[in-house]
Amino acid sequence: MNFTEILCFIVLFLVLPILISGFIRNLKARLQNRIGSPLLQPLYNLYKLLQKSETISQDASPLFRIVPALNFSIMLILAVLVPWLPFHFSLPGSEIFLVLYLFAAMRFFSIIAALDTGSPFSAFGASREATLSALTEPAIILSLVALGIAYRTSDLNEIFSFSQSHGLMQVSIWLLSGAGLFLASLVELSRMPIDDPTTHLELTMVHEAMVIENSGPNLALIELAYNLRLVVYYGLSAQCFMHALAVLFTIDHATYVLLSILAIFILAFLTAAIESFAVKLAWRNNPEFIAYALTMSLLASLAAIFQSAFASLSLGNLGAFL
Amino acid sequence: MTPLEFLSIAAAVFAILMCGTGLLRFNLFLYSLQTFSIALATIAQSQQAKEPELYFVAIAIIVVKALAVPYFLSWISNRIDARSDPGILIPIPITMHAAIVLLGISYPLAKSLPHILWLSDSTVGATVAISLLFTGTLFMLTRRNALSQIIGFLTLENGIYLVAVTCTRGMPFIFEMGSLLDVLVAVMIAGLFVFRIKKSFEHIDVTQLDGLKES
Amino acid sequence: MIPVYKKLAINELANTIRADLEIEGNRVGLVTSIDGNQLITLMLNTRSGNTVLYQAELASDSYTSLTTTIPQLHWHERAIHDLFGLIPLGHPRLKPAIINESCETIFAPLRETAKPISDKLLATRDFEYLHISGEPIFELPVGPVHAGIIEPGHFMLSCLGEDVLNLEVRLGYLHRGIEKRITEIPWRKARFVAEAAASDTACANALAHALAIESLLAVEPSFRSQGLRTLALEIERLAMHIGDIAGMAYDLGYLVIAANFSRLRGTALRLAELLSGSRFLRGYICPGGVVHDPDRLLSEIQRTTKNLRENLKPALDFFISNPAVYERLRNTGKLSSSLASEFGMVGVVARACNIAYDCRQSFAQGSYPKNHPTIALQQEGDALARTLVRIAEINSSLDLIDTILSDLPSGTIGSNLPVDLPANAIGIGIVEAFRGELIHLVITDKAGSIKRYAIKDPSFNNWTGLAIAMRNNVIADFPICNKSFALSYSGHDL
Repeated sequence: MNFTEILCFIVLFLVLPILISGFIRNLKARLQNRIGSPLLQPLYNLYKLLQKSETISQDASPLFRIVPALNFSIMLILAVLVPWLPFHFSLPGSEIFLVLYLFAAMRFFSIIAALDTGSPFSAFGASREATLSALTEPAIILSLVALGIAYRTSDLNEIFSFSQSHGLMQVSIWLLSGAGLFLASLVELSRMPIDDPTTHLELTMVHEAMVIENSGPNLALIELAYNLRLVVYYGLSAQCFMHALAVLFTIDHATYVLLSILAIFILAFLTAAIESFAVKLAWRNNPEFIAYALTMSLLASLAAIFQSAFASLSLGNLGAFL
Repeated sequence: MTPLEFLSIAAAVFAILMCGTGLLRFNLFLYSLQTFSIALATIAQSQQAKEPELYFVAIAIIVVKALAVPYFLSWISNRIDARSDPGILIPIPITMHAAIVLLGISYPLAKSLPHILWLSDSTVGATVAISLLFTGTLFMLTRRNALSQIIGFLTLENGIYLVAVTCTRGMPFIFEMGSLLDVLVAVMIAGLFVFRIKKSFEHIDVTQLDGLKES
Repeated sequence: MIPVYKKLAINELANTIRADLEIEGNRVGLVTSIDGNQLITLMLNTRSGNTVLYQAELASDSYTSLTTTIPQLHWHERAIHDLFGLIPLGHPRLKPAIINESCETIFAPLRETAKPISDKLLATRDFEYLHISGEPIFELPVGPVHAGIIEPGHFMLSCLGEDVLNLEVRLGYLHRGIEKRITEIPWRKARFVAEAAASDTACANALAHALAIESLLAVEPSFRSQGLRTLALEIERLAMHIGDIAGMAYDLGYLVIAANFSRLRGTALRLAELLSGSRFLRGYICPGGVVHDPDRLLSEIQRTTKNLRENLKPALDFFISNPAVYERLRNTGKLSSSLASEFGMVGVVARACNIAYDCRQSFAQGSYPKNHPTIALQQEGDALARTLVRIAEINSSLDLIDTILSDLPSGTIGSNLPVDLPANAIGIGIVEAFRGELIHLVITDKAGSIKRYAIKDPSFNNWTGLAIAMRNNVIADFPICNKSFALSYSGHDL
């Protein structure tokens, strides 16, 4: 990784989280024939929140204060570890399972912080978050593991670095994993059709209900961590789709970087479109949507298993193997 | 992996996704995508096997099975106000996952087909064809609605067609067209039946047919 | 309309009401008191359009609760308890309908001032929520200050996991003393207060007020003004139903359609502005007629209606043909037909439960006798049924607006009213507001000034329906249920 790449990474790392959430908001407004807020509105919101003082529940323990900062730091580490942009730091920690557990740790901390305040709203927000993540986690794990099986490594940087040969089978694995990750990230990020981030209805919210007790700088950190998580998830699934594309066409590196950024924007566009045209699911029907994420990742794993079975065994003894 | 195999796998994936929703309109949309992939697979096969008449078959499939039939069925579903299917036996998401397992099982089954059918290496095509048969059957078994039964039947029919295209050199052109016409007529008749059933019983729940038995 | 007046003994009241309710088409319109010394009950016959007013004198501050045998009166009795300080003995869930913890003593605003208030009332003053106990029960208080721009109301949801076992609605945060105020001001100014009972129902309230006053004065407004009044009422219904559907789309997260409906609501409000000069039709209808003749603007109204109809149709089709909307609304917030009639539901809610009651037919006035719309009925009683009823009524309102515009009688718009109201008289006005049956009851005293002015907003009946419909739904369905009922807080609190 050379100096230009590091510079690019830092710039994108600073700009994209704000820009993507601003872009989704603005696009949603445009789709409703409204002018919408400026692209940098999330930044202004952060500035506003940082200026405010905090109101903290009397029942809250110090944990409640620490968790937003903790989660934000974990998110910063993840943003470096996860290959969500086409630049790779050769860090030792980009193991699939480390990444998955760091995501799980963030969720764990937000849930206990929500329960800590004793507010009924954040408690049921936390309960819903726990239910949803229990349903989504298998999908995220399986889509990453499918890639791991296909490339026989558990190092994310290695998986996402074109180190292996590619064929149409890989295209399907990449596409299915990418689709699985994208659908799972919609759930994970509490977006439509599971949760409506624009709603004011406290009874239907998941993520917003969970952080309802946070205010001021604490809320700013949560929002920032959320925005970062959004681009990391979208970047990861965009990278999956980009790899599928790179198998079919030869693309030089500069174009690839540009296309990767474009892909993140396309996913953001898709999100905005889904949020404008989809109808929010009934709480009981949520598993039906999440099942699609799981199906995609299951199919990806199936394809990966077949592929490695083809590679390791000759066709003749495959029947015996099965 | 050849384009033919890729497209037939896409068909299997669409069929599996179709099992995951109870909304008839999305079922029909995914059925249409599935049929579309099969038509493209037919084109790929026609190039591979140098059989130009398969082009016409592909076009006929797109027009009849991928466009006209879903359109007709969605028109009926709007007319009789049947928009979704609650499913029976097992929950809808589990149906989808069961279909994935069946796709996995299809592979050894395809491998163990008698060798007389092998013309080239068509294991993937046969796997997908068998998986479509399974998926169609599963779909018919786990749905309540008479319209869903038709969609399941059409998926099954796609499976049979795919066996013909990938595992043999294809049936004579006239047979292909004839069977396509049969499917169209079958769907029309089934659609009209659904219409009638709705009129006489005020619902199209096939599980209620058990009540018609003489005891 | 002047009701048939009958005097009864208090112990006969319950039996009489029950016997009346046995007769097909009868329903209880309103139960209240005049000054705390009696109970008055307004019975309506929805078939013949006849009304009967029973008056039963009370000897003391308490009476045997009627709720135990006639469940739909439970909310009326709560209101009587608060406003007159009368205790219904044996009421199963007696709690205040307005907020009176903030007063040190008992606050019974409509009670005869000379009459002392007994201390026994203090015991029933505080609001106690129905407490459901058990280890896994989770109580979720919502409101009275909500996250959106809506009126205040407190909801206590007792939940088992995500399932709602009981919803308790607590209202009264908007009590402004409208009924009291109307008795204090000159009757000619009362219309401005009456229409503020619920501002989104301004036109229907003004019309009900005008009808009640006109029945006292025995004045018949001109045909032209009757046509214009009906026009105004239908425009209000149109705009508010579109607004409710927009709100429903927002709650479903169907943002594009919601934005579209919000815009169309603006067009419908423009119709109101063209007709009356006020987007919410305020101050338009007055006793004796209407205040303003939109003569030259009628063609503009016609054109805007045509335009609205053209834009509305694709949006409505797009909304309701979406199977996801269908699935989301179906079986959400289901209210059975038997409970709906037992608790006296009115308006859209009743019609969605297959109860054919529409005041435009039962108590037709204005242009309705000539061209009343067919009643939009649905069987299921769920949120979908209520939405479908609204959509059907949007279409029938559009048709009605066209019909009225095409043959609006010519003539004057107002009539000269006598200076004084007759003494010791009773007049009622019944109007189908966009939420349902709206009743204004006016009673004058010996001197001919208003002694008691009672308003029964449709929401008054329907809040119970919401509480019933929410049972066994999940918490996340509450906003959709609430929106499908689309009830008024201020109309209830008065």
